[in-house]
Amino acid sequence: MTRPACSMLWVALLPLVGLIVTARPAEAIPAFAQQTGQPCVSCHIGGYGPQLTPIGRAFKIGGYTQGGGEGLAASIPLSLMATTSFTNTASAVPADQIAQHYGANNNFSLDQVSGFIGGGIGQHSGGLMQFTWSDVANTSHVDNVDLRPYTTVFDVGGKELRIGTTLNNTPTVQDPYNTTFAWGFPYVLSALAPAPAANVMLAAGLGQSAIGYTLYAWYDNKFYLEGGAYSTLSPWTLTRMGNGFGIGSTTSPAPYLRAAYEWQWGNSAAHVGAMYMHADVNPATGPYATTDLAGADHYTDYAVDGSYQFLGDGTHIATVQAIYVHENQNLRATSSGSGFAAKYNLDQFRANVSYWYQNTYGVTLGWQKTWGPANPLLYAPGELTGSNNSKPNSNAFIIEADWVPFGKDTSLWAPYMNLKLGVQYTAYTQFNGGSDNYDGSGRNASDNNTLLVFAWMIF
Amino acid sequence: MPGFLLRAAFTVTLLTAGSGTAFAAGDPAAGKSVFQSTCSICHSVQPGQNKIGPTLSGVVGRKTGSVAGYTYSPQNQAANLTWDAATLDKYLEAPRAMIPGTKMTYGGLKDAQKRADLIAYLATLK
Ligand code: HEC
Repeated sequence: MTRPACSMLWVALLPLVGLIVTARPAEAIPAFAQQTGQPCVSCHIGGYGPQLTPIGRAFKIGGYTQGGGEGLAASIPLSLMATTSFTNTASAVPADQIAQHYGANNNFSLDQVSGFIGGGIGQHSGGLMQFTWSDVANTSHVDNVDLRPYTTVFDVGGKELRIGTTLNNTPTVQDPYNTTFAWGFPYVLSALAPAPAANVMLAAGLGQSAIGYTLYAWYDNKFYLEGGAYSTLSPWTLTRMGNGFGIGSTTSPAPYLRAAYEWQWGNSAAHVGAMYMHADVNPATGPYATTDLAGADHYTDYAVDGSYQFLGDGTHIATVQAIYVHENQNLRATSSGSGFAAKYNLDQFRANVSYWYQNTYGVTLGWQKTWGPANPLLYAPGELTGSNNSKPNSNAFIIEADWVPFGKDTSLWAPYMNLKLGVQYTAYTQFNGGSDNYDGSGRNASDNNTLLVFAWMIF
Repeated sequence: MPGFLLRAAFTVTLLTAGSGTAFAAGDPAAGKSVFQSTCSICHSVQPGQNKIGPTLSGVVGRKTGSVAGYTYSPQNQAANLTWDAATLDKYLEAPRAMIPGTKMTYGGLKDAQKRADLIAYLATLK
């Protein structure tokens, strides 16, 4: 068999061959398209989730309640998603770090299969729940959950004021802007490729291990204000949901605040926003265990973000998104008895620009930089995943090209299925604190440069 | 007969009897709930309040593309129609069929009775 034919066969077999791992969740669920009678492009940039348009934000803030679809499919709130991919890293991972069932490099995987329940129940309640099966460890887990128990609209001097509540399992999963983390770029990741160790709490500290209640207000489709708190779930519950602790278990509810202001003019939209979160946690000692022997660690995050979207008439679309987070860490518990200082900080900047032609062909350029002082409590030398100088510093440039052949109102099988085919390349100039020999075992940051080719389907 | 069955039978009778030319009598109260569930994400009924789409306050009787301060698509702007029961009925059934290139992505309301109710409600917005 010739080589091209061979790879064609692979592509054709990908959805069937149950290999493994990676990836991030996705949205744009066809159940929503059916409920609203709208094509994916109404609510999503590039006709595929999760990046939202102003209509998508209105739908989400509106509690996923908007109707408009007709027929039986409009009332079936179920969708199914699958991601398959091919991952190549510049250098193979060391032999003792290879994921089970995989080769050291050039792996095909069935990254995730997710089921979604999403939609509105009447005009005041709705939500989205995602359950994911990943072949990594052949496990299923409760993925993103964003429920809106109640939302309603008041008329305040001729302007609309929407008030709502959320019940969710990950800070920022309920946020209307894709500058934030749960639904931020890159929307697909390779789980087989090494990823930088350091991340801010808002991005990864409590995700899927907590339950958050928030109250929000949206005034005149412009001003968004939200406040609430997160508490981690018990090890018993987490075991059953298939999600482990992140930074630890909260000793008191962790406050979460979000404010944003959006302008819409002509065919453009822009926003600026800010976030705050603070958590007191007993540090994690394992996926389902934490310790209170030395008290609590304290994390405080401050973030500012902004975005611009040019939507035009749908022929040319351009977007810009950026977020900066500063985190103060007081690791009293983790540092106790170690002889190391307790106080550190961590900074992260993420930005991306995208261009889409006819909501079908897209290219996105992303930049992610994380930095801070050496932190021997959290980062130690270690082959592949460690840091030789204990610094959290990483710097990555990401380029992604996508093709979304469906998702338009005139598309084949609309609104029942959608597909995204993409190629993503991530280049690291710094990884876990260094460029050359970052791990102390001779690996360079650029050895982790990753090529990901993926097919992402949703029904 | 339960209310909804009566109503369905009534609608069917109307539809067959009307054979597409006559407009079923609309119920503004029912139309308001259609509006809230289907149109309100993009349209306000308050004068001067543009959301993703232009305000629908006073839409019945006005010319296409005439809301000040709202950026229409060139196609909607140039449609040169007056919104009345007939044009709205045709438009709301399949917006893109009537105004190709419109940026209203909503696909259309196929149920004739719901359209009639909705138009009756829109007519109350002065
Ligand atoms: C997804 C958002 C969305 C939904 C849902 C929607 N519309 Fe629209 N509507 C728009 C946009 C955007 C325009 C402007 C179209 C253009 O400029 O091409 C528009 C234009 C209109 C117009 C023409 C206004 C004028 O001044 O010429 C009417 C009438 C209208 N919509 C009625 C409705 C009704 C009734 C519903 C509910 C059945 C509805 N729309 C649902 C977005 C929406």
